[in-house]
Amino acid sequence: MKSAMNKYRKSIGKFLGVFLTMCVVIIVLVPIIWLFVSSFKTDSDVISYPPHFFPQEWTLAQYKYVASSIPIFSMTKTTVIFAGGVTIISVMFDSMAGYAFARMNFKGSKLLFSIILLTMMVPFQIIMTPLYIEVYKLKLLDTYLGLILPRATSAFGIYMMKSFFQELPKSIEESGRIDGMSEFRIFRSLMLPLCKPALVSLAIFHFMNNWNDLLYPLMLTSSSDKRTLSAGLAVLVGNKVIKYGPTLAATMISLAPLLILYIFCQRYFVEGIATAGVKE
Amino acid sequence: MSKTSIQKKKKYKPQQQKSAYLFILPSMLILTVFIFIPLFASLVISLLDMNIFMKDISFVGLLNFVRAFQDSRVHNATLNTFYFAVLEVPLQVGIALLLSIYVAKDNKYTRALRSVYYLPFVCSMTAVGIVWSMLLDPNLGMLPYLLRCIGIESISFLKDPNLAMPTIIVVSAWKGFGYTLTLITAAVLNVPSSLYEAAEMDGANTWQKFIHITIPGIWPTVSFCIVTTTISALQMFDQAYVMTQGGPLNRTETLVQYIYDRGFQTAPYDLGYASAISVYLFAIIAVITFILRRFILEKGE
Amino acid sequence: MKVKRVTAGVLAALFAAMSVTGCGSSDAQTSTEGASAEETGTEAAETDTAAAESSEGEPVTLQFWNVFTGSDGDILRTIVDNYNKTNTDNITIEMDIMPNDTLQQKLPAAIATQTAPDLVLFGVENLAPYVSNDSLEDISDFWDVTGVDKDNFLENVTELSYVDGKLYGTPMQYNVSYLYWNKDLFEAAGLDPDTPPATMDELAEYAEKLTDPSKNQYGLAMPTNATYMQFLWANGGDADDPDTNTNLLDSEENLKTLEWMQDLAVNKKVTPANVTGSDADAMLQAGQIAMYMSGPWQINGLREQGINFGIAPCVAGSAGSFSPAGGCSYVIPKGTDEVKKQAAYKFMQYWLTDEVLKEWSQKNGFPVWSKSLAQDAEIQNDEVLNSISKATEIGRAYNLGYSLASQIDNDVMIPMFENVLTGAKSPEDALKEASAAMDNVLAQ
Repeated sequence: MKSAMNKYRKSIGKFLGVFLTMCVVIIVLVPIIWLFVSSFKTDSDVISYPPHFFPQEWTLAQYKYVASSIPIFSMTKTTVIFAGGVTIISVMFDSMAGYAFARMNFKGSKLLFSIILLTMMVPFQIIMTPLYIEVYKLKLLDTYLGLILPRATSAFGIYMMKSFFQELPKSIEESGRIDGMSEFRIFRSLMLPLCKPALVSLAIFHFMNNWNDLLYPLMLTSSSDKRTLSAGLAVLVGNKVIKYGPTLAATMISLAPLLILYIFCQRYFVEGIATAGVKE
Repeated sequence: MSKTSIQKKKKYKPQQQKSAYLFILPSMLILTVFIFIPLFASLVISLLDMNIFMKDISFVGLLNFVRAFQDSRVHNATLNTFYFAVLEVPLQVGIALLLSIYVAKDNKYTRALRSVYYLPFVCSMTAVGIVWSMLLDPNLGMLPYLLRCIGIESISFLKDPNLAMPTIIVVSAWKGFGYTLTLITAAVLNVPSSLYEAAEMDGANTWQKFIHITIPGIWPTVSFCIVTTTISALQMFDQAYVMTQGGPLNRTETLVQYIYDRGFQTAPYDLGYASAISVYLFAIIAVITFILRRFILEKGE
Repeated sequence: MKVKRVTAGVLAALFAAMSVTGCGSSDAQTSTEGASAEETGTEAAETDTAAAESSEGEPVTLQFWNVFTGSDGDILRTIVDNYNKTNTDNITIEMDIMPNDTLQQKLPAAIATQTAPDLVLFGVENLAPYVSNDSLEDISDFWDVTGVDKDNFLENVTELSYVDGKLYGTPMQYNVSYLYWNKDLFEAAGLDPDTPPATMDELAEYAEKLTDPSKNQYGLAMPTNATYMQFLWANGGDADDPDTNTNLLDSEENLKTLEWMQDLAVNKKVTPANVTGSDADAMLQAGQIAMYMSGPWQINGLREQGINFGIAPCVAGSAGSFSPAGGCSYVIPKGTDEVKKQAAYKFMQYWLTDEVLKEWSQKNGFPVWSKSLAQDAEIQNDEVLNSISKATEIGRAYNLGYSLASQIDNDVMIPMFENVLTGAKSPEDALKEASAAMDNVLAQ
């Protein structure tokens, strides 16, 4: 009796689980699919009433319009240089700092780390104008360096790498020290290879954030050939009259490279980031 | 967790100290130049009567703060900011926790589910905002139309003063829960399976196992999620900026949004005043983070 | 502890260095430069005209910022590209379009740091705040230097570019609000498709007839993020008097207008609830809205969607019919050097030729304000432009040239209309609250 009851309960639980997870799949996927198919609608189809999920007639007109209005390829190039540059440099600096905070004893380490954490609490809007003036003073306005440098490290990355390095066994660097290696060699040849998953997931995190960023690149660039993709596409959304068709196509274009990257590297996105399961 | 890594000996080796400073030098330099100095500048600007043109600057002491404390829109924005954070954080973390019961296992099926759930997090907030505001538009949108078809009239979501904020909260949770879920899943998979086996011997059911073994085991990760999600929730801007622009009737105007409006949207672009509200917001975030870390982390230990 | 003190010290020193070089010197720079520019101004102008006579001068590149996102930006780009190809002064214009928000964030800081573009195109409502912060070049000599005949343009258009009697920009386009109506929906509701409402009473009556919730169709769209000066003025009310800094909000006339608006929006539900301007645009293009008051920028979209529409002046009340006038002007940011300034004059002059103005009006449906162009046969036969020029006559300046204008709109007028249209407050309360807010703004 009892075991039958248990079995019944278990299968109900299982059914509930499948039902729930599937509902969430639908809720997640439907808007994204809607965006994809709607970017092939005509202008009047996008705003027709009653609305249709799928296009009445499939058209590439919106994509053609976007391609003719803005230089998509040069903007993509800029975005790759910007997001890629930030990613490479930031991962390097973040892991160095994270390593020092996790594995080395030095005066003021606790205080310095708390100060770094404080920077996570500063909304960009607050420092926007002083930052602009500063980048100008450094003569870096509208240059790749000026775009990349302010983002070349992040509190989040340091925090994440610190927690990762803390998990590694102590014996590693001791063996290095016995061999007479310098601190940097220990870090470079012994520790770094051990944290590839964390590095990859941090890299993806930086790449994603900077790819999607809007206000920051708009602020620090002034020529259209230094505009990033998401910032460039923002220009398409009309000032007085919004054109919904091109807006959808533009949104799809800005998402597509990341989505494609995601499909091929999802293991790193999902599992890599998981190593950021930061422990205090 | 941290116990393993804290080095007991507190003596500093000079050689190691030097290299440690070298290791953190690049990061400290960048953070100092590009975050601390601008932040400090904001602090100074908050004491000035200064607009974005940076002419005719004068020192006004705490006048901007006095003005802020009397400004009903600051009060309104403060309440909205808390409204958002207090509901969004538990919702996002709660959904992730609930789903982790089913998907925090390591097999093909759950991996596929987690990949799908992570998808919205890859998309920019701008894209998410555009898609949802079109889907939810009361006059042209898909969802209100479908609701009308089954006889539910006139739910206008983002256009309804009372529903706008809840709608933004749900959309934000939609975008973020996959990320939280991934973190939690990793933590769940790290909980030693021997604990579960022992509990099963004692006849514990799924729910009991979840409450008594999983939750304590993943608490450090959950608290990390709560702290970081709260910090970003208190800085909420993009969502409301794209979907409602703070309306209707300022019901979705958050502090960052109001700072942006005073400093950059409404002439005479009063930077001094905007900076004063920024300092106020920064203080709120710092205090709340401190309290959260105190209570949630201690509770975990 | 030591570290803390050292960091604090370094921070303070760095910031001090930054603020001194940042704000202080730019002030000094602009003032000396302003003086020297005046001295060299005439000289440079002479050399420049000399260069122009010898047809090929030194190459000049102008950075040009504007806010023409969307489809009118495409037309502007074509005209600028064409200018780059055909001009004989060796001028190249590099155009950068950005959202209005972004422009407002960057331009003041750019002017303060001397990194501003050489030419900017923005709404005339921006002129006053920029001028009051000494951020635009005074170009009062434009008409003399270029020889463009000022009297060939309607005075109410050119006057939008003047602040305190000085010229700070040259007109690019001019607009007022029109009443758009959907002729097919009029016909379906049994109304004459060729007779738009002329008075506020007719407007209300028609709006009710044209509303059909079962078809998701509304008689008159009234977005909540807009101002409705046309209604206040029509009944003899007003918002404020910029010349004397007086608050004119709290009047019987305004109360009557607000009651009328709330009755239409809340009781009769002739407008979709809580829509923004862009929502209303989309619904108008989708044929769900019968009447809507908006600027000329609707015309292209309506044509593309094949909507059968008409354009009429805004409706009249007891005091007549009016519409707030607006427009865009080309301006030159402070600190632009003389050579570039002269090159910018050349482009402004090019824009003011009938040929370019005609292309702009025909492609975009903006009203014609050049007297010689108005005589053009093609323009006179253009049905849309014709109905527009009649509707344009009722244009009335609203807080233009007033540096508090944007704050009055954002902090007083828009919240008041939003409260009334959504029914959040009674017209009395909304008006009282707005009047108090107005006092606050004007007290600055």
